[in-house]
Amino acid sequence: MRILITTLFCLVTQLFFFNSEALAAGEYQALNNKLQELIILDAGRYKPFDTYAQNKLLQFSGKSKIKAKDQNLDAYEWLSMVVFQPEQVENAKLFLINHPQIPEALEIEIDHKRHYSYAQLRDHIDSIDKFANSAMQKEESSRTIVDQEFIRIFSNFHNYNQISNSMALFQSKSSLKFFSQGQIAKELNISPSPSIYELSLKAKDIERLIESPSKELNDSALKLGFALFSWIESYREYLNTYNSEEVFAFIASPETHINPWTYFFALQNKVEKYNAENIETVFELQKSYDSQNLEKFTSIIDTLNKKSKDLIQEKKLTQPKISLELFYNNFSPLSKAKLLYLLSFILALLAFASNKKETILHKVSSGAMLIASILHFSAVLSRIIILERAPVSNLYETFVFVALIISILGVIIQRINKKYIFGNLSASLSSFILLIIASKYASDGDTMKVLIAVLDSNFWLSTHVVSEMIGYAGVSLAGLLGHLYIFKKLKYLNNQSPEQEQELNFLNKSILGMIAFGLLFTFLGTMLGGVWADQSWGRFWGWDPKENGALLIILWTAITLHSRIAGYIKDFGLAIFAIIGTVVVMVSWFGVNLLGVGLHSYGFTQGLAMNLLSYILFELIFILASMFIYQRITKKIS
Amino acid sequence: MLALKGLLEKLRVVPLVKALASFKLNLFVLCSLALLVFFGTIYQSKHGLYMAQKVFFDSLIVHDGWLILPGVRLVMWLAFLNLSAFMIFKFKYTWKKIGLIVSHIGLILILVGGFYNLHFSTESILNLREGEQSSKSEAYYDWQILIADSEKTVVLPIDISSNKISAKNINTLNQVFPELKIDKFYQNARIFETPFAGTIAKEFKVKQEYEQNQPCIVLSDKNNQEYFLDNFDHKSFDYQNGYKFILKRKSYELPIIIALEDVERELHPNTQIAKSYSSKIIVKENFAEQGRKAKISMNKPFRYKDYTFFQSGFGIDSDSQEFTSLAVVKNKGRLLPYIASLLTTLGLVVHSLISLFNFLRRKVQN
Repeated sequence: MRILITTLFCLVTQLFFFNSEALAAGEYQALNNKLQELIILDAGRYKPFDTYAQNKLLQFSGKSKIKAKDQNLDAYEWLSMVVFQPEQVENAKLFLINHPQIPEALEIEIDHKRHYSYAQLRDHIDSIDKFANSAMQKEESSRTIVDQEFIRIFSNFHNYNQISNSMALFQSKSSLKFFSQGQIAKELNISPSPSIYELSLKAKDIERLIESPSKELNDSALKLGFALFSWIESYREYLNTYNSEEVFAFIASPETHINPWTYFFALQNKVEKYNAENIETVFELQKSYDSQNLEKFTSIIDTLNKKSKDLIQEKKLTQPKISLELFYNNFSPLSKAKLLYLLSFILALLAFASNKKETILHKVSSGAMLIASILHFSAVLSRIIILERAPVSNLYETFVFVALIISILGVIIQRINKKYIFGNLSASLSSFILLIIASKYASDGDTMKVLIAVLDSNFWLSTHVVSEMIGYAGVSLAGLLGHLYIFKKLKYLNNQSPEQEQELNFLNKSILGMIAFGLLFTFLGTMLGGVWADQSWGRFWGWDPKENGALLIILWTAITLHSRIAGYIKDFGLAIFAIIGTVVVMVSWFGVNLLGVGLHSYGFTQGLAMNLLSYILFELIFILASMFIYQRITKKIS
Repeated sequence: MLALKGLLEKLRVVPLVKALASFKLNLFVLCSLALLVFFGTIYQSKHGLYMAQKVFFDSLIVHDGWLILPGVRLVMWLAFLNLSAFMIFKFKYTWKKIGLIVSHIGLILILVGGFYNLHFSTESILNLREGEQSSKSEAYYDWQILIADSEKTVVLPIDISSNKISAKNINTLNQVFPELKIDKFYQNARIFETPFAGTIAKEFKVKQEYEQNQPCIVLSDKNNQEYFLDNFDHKSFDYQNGYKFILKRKSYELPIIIALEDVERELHPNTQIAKSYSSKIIVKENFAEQGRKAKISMNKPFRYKDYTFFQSGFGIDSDSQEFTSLAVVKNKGRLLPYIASLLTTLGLVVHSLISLFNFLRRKVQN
């Protein structure tokens, strides 16, 4: 039944689309810009249209931009078109389909970039529905990768379908154009490009004309009535069958999801509380968009936002920081910081290779590093203000936060001894890599999700997790410095001057300092976690995988420090142990997340498992190779 | 004082003391613990926390397939002996090391606290529907076979764990009922009456979350007459002269009555994502009719003497009535881990600051 409804729905809606050639995004730039500000309530959080658009584009395509008719569109431009002029972007290659068996099963030509358009999928929606439904009937544990992918595509398709039909009521439909001519048009005063809404207002008159003695009028009125009825009923069926939460709501009500269709059906059923004013406002919005009337469009967006704000105020909820979030989105401090880290790293690498002390390279690299840190810090701070919580509640945020701490520690190490470039070199590289991983991870969707109940304690979240993450940063940086130590040590082994010894000594002290710093904060974080657990669940320690991960870091740093104190390892051994420390951090940071989902899940998690494994392998080879070379050289010397 | 010093000097050279206070033992303890935590966590992801605790974290020796390791309990004892011996016999006390001293004393206290909690704290759960009250909480994992006489007085409680019947359990049973033997123990099963095969126990897949398993026991007497016990349908049986056998979760008497007035769930706006749960309760002391009001929410437990009640869950039962799950912890030594970990952290902070200060001073001198 569901399949039939969807197929019918798609057929009906497809019939009514215009097929205009030129893409209109450019012409609507000013309107789209204004639309960015619209307040949306999505997944429990108020956010600007822009953020919502970015999340949706990432969710569907895994990308932050999309190409439609040879134009590169930003997320908000794309979503504006999806809402107001869906036919313009229906051929854009939007949907990411990871598994090649899916297009094969749907008999769609395989796209080497793995992206398929809405129009392409719409033609096969009955098959998608059929495969996804049979996959959903299986138990979760027995679903194959292909099953999971079908369910994901099914959900994304319907999600998109709902968004793109949000304003369908108010949009001109080509098949209705038939009624804008002839006697019936004159009689009912139908405009040249009528919409469902406009025609539905004339329902009483249409009824009257069906009774008319004129055969022409009578026929046209019957056809029009039937067209309207089939349209509205197919929508009603569709929205009743599928959860209509994704249909775009223009007023962010904290209690119920009210979208244009809700207004429309409520009006038809004469439900008083959804007043007619709202549907007229949304109708005007579509008209002003179509006619590119910026002034009117702006004033309607402001009115809608005011209504949302009033509702938020009524519920005594905190007002969203829309302007700050828009600034954060548009300025994109993290991507700027990422580039500066890369710049700083390249310069530091040149300085490292040149082996000279305090050159201009050192200075410029330090400058870039400092500006990157400030930008990075401002990004984290913005997130704290927008979300009103500590910025460490999902994996994405932990990458960004740990990268920030590493960068600050790097700046400090660089400040302590400006002669060398170790602080910049190690911190810029790791912050850059972590931000790259973060942006990869962001493609999972919303990075600003609301907190689930158990995490919803600002004090403990901000103290416990933050300390833990600072600890991760310290131990990771120690490992990177360990690599530098090994490079330098192997280089200087043949003939070590006092100055070189001093250089190695500084590196060694930095490693030791970072390990101790890491131990201190990981221990503090774990202790605070224990207190939180005791406050929430009545137990200080429960052998939870995440707790165990933190304990593993504490144990490894303790093993390292005790081995050093007991003299079982010397400076070279310390560097090796520090590198292993980074591996331990990575295992407890991501490995624990992998445990829960198993190694067989598809997409990013599988990528993560592979990356983690390759990283561990790389470090293992690095350690063994450097130990081998170290022994060879020392043997030769002795 | 001098005599004590002399004794310490003498003990210091004893090989056993030397071994106990050695760095070698210290590293053995740390490395073993690291391996245990690593493999224990992987084991947990496959077999669940209950079994991981049994096999790894609560045992003296771990033997799982090819893996043989000292269990966490043994390692913790070694850690305690090692740390204490080190601090008594080997540590060179100077003011510079005050941070290390404090942090290591903190670690010893953490081990003491762990030992105390393991033996003297109990965790249980109290499920209440709105309008209900109770002064008994139930164990998560532990079960009891209760045998009552015709007067309904319990004559023999046998405590069993949720994964097996021990030899001790059988022994206890046979002391009173020597003719009865336990034929089968199912970790997760249910008794069915079938038209042809008679009464049978149908076994289900054992869940990793052991608190969700419903055990089932089949006993038989010398005439091979079978007797079935389960908790699912509260299947019990009568035996000779009016003895009644029941299987149920082990329960704990609370010093107060808790009545649930209302349980609330707050959602994030316009979603089904829970923001918080809370329970409005009435606490009746001395089992009085009237009581005082209290509210338990996430991260905000209710404490009464050595007992703490935590908001642990929320649900709607088959009669579409809301219920709350309160975790109940009885623990006299709950402050010990707080003090111990505070001391360790404090020690680490002091030591870090001293080291940093020394480093900066040397840098300035250079």
